[in-house]
Amino acid sequence: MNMKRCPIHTPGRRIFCSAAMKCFLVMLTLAMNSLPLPAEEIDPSSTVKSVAVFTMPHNDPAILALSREAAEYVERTFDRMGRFLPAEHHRVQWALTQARTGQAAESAVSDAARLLNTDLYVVISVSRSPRFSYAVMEIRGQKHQALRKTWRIRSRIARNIPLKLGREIALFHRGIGLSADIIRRYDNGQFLLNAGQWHGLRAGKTYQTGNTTVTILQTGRFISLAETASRTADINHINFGNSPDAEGGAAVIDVALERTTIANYGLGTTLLKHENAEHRYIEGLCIINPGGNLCLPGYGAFLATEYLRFQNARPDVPGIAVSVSAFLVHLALPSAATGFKCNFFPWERDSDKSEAMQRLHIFLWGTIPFNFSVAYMDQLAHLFHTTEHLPPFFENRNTMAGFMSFIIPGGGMFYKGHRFAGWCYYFSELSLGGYSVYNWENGNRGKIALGALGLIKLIDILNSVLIGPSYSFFTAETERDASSVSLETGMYRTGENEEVYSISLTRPL
Amino acid sequence: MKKLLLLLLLAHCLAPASELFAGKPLAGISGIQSDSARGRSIANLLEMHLYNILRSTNSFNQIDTAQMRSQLVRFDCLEDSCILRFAQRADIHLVLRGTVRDMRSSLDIEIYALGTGTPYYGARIYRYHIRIPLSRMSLSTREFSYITEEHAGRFISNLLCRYRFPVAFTLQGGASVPDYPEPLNGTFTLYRFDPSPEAREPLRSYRKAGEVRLENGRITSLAPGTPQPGNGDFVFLTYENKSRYLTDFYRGRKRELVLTPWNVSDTLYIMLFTAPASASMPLVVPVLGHYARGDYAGLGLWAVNAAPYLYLEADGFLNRPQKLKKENRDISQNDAARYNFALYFCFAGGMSLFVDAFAQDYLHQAAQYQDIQPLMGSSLSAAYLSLICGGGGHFYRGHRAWGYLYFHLNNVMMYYTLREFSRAERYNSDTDSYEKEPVDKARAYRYLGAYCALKLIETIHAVLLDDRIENGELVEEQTAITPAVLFDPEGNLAFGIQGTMRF
Repeated sequence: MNMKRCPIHTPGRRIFCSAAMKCFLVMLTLAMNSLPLPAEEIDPSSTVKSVAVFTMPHNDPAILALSREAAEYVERTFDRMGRFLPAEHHRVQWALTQARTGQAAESAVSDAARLLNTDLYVVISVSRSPRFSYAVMEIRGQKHQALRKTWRIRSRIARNIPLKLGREIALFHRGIGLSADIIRRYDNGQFLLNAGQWHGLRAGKTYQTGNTTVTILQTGRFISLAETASRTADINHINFGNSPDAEGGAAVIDVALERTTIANYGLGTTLLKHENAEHRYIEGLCIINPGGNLCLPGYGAFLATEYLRFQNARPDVPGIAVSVSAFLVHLALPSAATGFKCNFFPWERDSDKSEAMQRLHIFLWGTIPFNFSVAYMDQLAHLFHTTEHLPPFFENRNTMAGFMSFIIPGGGMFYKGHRFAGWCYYFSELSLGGYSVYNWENGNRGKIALGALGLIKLIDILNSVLIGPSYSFFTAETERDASSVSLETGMYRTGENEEVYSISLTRPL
Repeated sequence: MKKLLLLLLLAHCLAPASELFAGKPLAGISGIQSDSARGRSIANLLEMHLYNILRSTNSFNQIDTAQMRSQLVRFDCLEDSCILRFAQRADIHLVLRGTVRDMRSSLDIEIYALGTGTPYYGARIYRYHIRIPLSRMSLSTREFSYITEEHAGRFISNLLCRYRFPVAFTLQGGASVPDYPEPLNGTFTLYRFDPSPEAREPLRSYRKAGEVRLENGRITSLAPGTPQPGNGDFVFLTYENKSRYLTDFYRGRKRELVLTPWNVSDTLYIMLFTAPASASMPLVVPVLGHYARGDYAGLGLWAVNAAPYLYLEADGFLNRPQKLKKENRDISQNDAARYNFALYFCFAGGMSLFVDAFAQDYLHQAAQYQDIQPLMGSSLSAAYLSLICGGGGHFYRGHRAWGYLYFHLNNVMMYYTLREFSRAERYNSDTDSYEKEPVDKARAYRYLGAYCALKLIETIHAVLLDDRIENGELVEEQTAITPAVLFDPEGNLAFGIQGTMRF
């Protein structure tokens, strides 16, 4: 095994004494790239824990580009987490050139990692099928041999592959406390640590680490000058304990994942790309749909969805049946309740229509617009599911769902694709409303029912805000498959042009 | 001859920095990375503006950006660690880096500065992360140039506010003088390095040694207990004044570019338009205001916040005292108050929501350099709107949260004040006339006093606020507070809350 020391770039041993010479000197000093550091000097970045990221070679340029993008994002995430510093590109290239001669890609990578002497190394392999992009990412520890972890992810959006890998890397940092080595001691008791501002240490701050109190006097990017109240002669490293903000890092990536997924599936970026999708959505709900439903209750709601330019759309017949049934209840319940004896119109009262019944009649006719809206939103939810599109305002889906539930019974649930729950809220709220109106002057019954309606409404709003969307194509991109057992089959080609058929049963622990 | 020149240069290269060079801090821009063609052109604009603004401060020696970037790229020296090594060797005190990420509907710009030498030793000094929404705006090179200049200006200004450059004292003819090309004036804190670690170590600790007063680069006095500055003692040069100047300059420049100059006639037009605008608010604001302009958040806020007052207004007009009198019904204090409030809300109070519907859009366009926005940016108009309607001045300035707070406070106070001044009237069927009931005037004036105090505070606040014409949204992700469960060295579970600050 060739264990050559990798040359470290040390460009720039130069002082700029005149403006005219600056550019020339920069070029000159950069050209002296292999000038070694003097023995007593420390290169701060070389003292910290490090990681090298490799990608498996591939003949397909698109996969190669995706692999590189993924590797860069993974490096960026490592950099952001502040525990393992990614090895510099030129060093990785140097190590790969040294190691690759006549070897298979797998062993070349492990040899290169040994040459770089990093604490961890990551190997990313990307492949594609007609519908999905796949990535396998493996972390291996060089100095911690026990560490070996593999993630297999897939996505229908290629741009999400780097983000998903980055999220796993961010979450990998959960609980990795900061542990720094003392790399130099001074006469006055101060010592140099291989952790600095990049790791989250702050100058002037005192840290309690077990029985020792460590005060950070100065911080560089990767090293710090510190002192302790007690003797440190027998201590070689200090456990600060503070973990990186892995959840926060993953949350930032989640936002980016959502953004790319919405850009891929959103109505505003697909079917209504050249139009104002938000305007069309509101116009469809407030103008087109009521018109359609007035002409043809139930089916009119499906016809109104055409305004959002769905292609090859098919109606959901059970949904139409439910909405038509509900419409008939709105229209004819008082008549049916009185044996079709009372006047059909709510504003006409006769001897067969009691005052309570007239109140109920007015309420039921007055809430017909809710029926129209719910029928429309139900058909929309069905179409969003089947055509794999996301509704407008989906970036602010929780606020939007809360608002929809506020103005339409179950509206927020329909908005997030939970059709059954939406119908449940609709029928509950309308029933309680009707009961309250009917019994308004019957002791406290009406008031109690109104109170219950308020409570259900509040639960409806909160539920629609808190619940996640049910669109599987969206959740598959944004959520981690961390709790379920999954069966995966795959057919892809490796870097060596080898056909691979795989079947795997995954149970995350 | 060429060899001789090269040798001379090499000798210079290997000489210690402090012996050769004393001057302004040296700054370089190591390149703004990008991930698309549009991002590349924006990154170029950003680099150009960063360079020019830094030069305009006259506080730094600078390296040509293109040369530096091309050399770093050539040697694949693109990571912070490599660039820091280079900067330390080349005695570059300040390195500016950044990225422009094209997210289709927005641009993510991140710029940061790394400092070498005391007191930074490679640490990141300042990081600026902004998201610029791009949808539904016609942005050409002109607008992008203005936008990148604004952000470059804000970044440099905030950086200068934090940056400190150590100026060491040297002995010249037996006297200690600061080693800086320009004469220093003022009182400075004197610092002295600890004897250990030594000068060649990567990090050194230093302590405050006292205070010195400098005039024209000469020590004129020392604070009591301050030792005579020796070789290597230093003071920190700060750039706060230049930072303030830059902030003021770019704020003023943007106002000139996107807002009309201060004009009394604009306020008069707003005054004349107040009553029709307020009266038409319930229809105009949701349809022609928020909906037509795509401000759906505004539409939702309007619906939720305006509903109770619109109900009061409608109720006040529907059950107005004149109508009740025709029906010979008693007029309660609430009936009278609702009618008075309805009059107020119809002819003045609704103006604030009218202003919100349009000002948000105008200011958003101003923030994106989309032409000069009429009627905006006048303190007089802000004061007038604050006086006549709740939160009007704040909505006019673009501060929606403040606006709604004052809107509700104002309306609630206004209603109760009107209620205290409103007199109930009882119908006397014997005389077929109405008898007015007395009001508690002292109590009514107390309410009026409280209302006037609120208006005074609101008006002053609105006048002192700046118009929200800053481009982009600052991405706040530098700090996080999270619950933590940790094992201490003895293996015991420890629960707590941890705060994280990213640099």
